[in-house]
Amino acid sequence: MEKNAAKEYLIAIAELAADGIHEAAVTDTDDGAVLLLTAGSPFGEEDELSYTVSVEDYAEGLFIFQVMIFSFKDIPQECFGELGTVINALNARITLGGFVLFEEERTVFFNHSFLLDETAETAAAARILLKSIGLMENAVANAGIWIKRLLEGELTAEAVLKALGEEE
Amino acid sequence: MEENTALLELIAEQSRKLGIEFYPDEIAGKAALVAEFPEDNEELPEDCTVTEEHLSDDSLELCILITVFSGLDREQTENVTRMTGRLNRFMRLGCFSAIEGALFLNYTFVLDEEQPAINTLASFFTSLDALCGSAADARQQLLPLVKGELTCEQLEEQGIYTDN
Repeated sequence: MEKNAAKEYLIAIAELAADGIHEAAVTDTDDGAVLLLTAGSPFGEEDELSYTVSVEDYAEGLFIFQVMIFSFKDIPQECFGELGTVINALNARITLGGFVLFEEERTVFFNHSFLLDETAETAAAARILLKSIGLMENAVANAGIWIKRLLEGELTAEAVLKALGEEE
Repeated sequence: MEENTALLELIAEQSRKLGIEFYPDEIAGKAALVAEFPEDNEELPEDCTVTEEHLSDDSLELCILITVFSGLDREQTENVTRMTGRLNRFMRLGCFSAIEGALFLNYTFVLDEEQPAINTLASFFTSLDALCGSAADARQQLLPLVKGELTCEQLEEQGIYTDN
């Protein structure tokens, strides 16, 4: 995909996503253009979620959008084991996307990617992306609350698994 | 619904040309496609299911679920669960999770019904191919763990990696 075409997509998305977004910027990286967004967090007024949206070539005639919503940061290393168990249980219940613990950065992000035909209109592609982001935000809010409660020491992993089992 | 079932039929028909034999099924009251991988190759995943779901805003989700392992006992499930974090780190399409004695790779498309041709066939088959590849990679790497030939620590030390 041409660099300018990727930027065109990302700028269109930034404009469409304007509601509820605190900041939006398209920047060039070694891997191509990336849209960086910050928005309010469902977990507290003082918190923010950071989004990165990238678009690049995937296979002939197709390109890939990847969206990552950085949901939790500065995670203590001693939480990794229980957090991994909870993330697995949550991911098993989420249909679109999934949480990933990135141990080196001590962060948890929510990830989803999808492929689009390169002939897709920019507006149509942006609509699909925004729908996907909306579903991702719901998952982050509804499932992420369990991660927050674990990280704040309110619940153990065992208690989260029990509560998830009772929800079903 | 008819249109969507037609989409599944189209997927089944196109898959046949690629050598994937999906057969129609119904899962939890929803139309579905199921394909089973050859049982005589232990390095291949077990099966693949495709279902569709209508969303309230007239968009459509197409969900792919690949069973990487099933029938795991409690210890095997715990070990595989511990590895899901590593498996998911660099995955773009799909997410691994272990539950009820099985390891799954799941992935969902969101389709815009205004332009249903977009993001369907070409992207569907490319995604399916990538997902099957990642599921097979995961199965190959986890087999020694499931068979009890390696511990989680040994596998982590050796390195475990999937992407697509």
